[in-house]
Amino acid sequence: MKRKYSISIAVALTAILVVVSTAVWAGPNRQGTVPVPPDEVELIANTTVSLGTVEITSSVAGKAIRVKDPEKDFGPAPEGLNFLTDAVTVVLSKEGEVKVCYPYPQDTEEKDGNIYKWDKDAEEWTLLKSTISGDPKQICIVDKGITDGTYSLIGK
Amino acid sequence: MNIKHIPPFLIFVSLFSLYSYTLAPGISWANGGADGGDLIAAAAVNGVPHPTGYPLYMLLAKLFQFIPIGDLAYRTNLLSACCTGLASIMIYFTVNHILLKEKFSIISSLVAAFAFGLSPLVWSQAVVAEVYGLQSLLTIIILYQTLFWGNKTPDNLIRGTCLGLGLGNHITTIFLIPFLLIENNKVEFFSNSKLSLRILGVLLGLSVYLILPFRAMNNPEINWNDPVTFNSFFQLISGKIYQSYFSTQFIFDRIRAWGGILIEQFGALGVFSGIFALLHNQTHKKYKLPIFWIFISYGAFSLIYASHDSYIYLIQTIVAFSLWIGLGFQNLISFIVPRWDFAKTGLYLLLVILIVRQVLIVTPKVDASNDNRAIEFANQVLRTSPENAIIFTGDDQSTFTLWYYHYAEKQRPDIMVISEGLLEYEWYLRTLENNYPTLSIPTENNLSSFDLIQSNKDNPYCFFIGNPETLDINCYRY
Repeated sequence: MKRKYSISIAVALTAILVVVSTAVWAGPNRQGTVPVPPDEVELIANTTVSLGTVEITSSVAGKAIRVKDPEKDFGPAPEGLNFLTDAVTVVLSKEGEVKVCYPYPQDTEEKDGNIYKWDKDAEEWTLLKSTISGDPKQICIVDKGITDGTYSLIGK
Repeated sequence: MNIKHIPPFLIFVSLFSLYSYTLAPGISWANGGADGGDLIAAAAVNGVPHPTGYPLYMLLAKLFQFIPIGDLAYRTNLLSACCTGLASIMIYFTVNHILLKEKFSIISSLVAAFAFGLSPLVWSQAVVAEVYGLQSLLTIIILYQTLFWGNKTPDNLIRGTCLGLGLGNHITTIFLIPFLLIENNKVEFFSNSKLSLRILGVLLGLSVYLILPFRAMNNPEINWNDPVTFNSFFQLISGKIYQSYFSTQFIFDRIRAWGGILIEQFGALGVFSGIFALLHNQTHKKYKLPIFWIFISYGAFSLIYASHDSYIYLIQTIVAFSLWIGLGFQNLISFIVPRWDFAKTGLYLLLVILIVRQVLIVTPKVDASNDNRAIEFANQVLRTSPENAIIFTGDDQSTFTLWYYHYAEKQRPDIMVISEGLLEYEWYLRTLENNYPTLSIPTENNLSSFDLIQSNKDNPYCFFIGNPETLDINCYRY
């Protein structure tokens, strides 16, 4: 190709690149070297599964999804309180019952840790009635007649 | 010093000085360097890093870790700076050899070398512990041998060995295997003896992978895939764990971004010079195909490898494009200067101005010398976590940073660092059993941190919640 044509085309291509190119390299949110811990598990009726630091048992099939930043994804903890761990969203195939348990070590007890549920209508976290049992201790709630819900361990 | 040695000396001294000035102070998250913690720690403990194992890098990193300056991480960062400086010298030699003492060949070769060495993407990897500086060096060495080496017997063996060692650093060197068929820049189906020598050389170079099973047999603290069987060894070196990362989903957006990255590396003038070299017939066209192959093969790979940081693999396309910039500059300057002799001084001055301008613009973008986030994170965790705590980590940053301090620097030997993302792998559970004999590991399917917490109630446990950048650690004990 003659020099003048090469120069013209090179100028044109460079101009096109300057105009149409972008600075953002498209890609998935995160795929690092360490495999991402599963953020979602399948729930099988009456079978206990664990996801991170939470254990879930449901009366019907469904799925459980880990929420790593509950404040950002739902809303802040009640005033004066903090999230002590990840939250979990449970989605059931039909209306059923779900049991959610977190470890309940002494430190959590000293922080008055309790399980809260996200109230979609009121847009706030509401305290659920929980039971503490087992060795090592766990704090659990049972939520009946639901198709979905988001739960988190919240304390001082 | 022979006068012809001055330009490469100048290239290395100037670039190495710049890299040292902007070098990460130790372990760093700057410039996407989170993987560095795994590489540094694995080299330090004679372990096996993440796939594909990087055996050549492991050996060189171990060597650099004997340098009596800074900590282990800093010494390993120096390896990147050295390799990138040497790669820039090889870029100079390649262009200089192509131009064969043409007028202005030295300045054109310098243009190519500095275009490479001062490009933001290349510079960003020269200041952290990563494999890409070494990969660039090996790529340009292999190309140089392909274009200019003759038919002496030792040459064939050395060429094959370099390619084998390249495969021993990064699996993408596989794209350069067709170069084995090229001699003196001509594709030839030559005598069996030459091909046999080159293949023998490749096998010799590949033998570096044997260090991985030998290391694994000693149960090092970092032992990805525990490659002591053929299956586990093959899964490691083939990167099986990452094979689901290929996708065509992002191709079109990434092609546009590739253009943007080229502009960012070289500016419009540099891109123009490179494209001009590619188009103009007179610009040493017989060298175009191998260089174009490097550009297109690594470019295609980065388009379809669906990790969020696969643009890093474009570094090898920058090797190719830098060569074109030098060749394009040569053609342009050879046209302009004979006609307007007064332009000669102006062009040299312009080159100096462009280099200084590039340094001033790029330095703030790549400077890792003040990035202490990883160091501060580790200090906070190691200072505040209770005795005998189990620390659960999730992402590369937290996992590899703590691996470095805990395994390589031997800090807080009482704690246990457990990566949640690796709990599904049998080899990782074996590693935990070896590293932490007191840890009770239940035999659950889909083992989670909940199961480990419940089985080790005498140990406090810690984990991070919220935004990964804040990395607040929460610790609890029964």
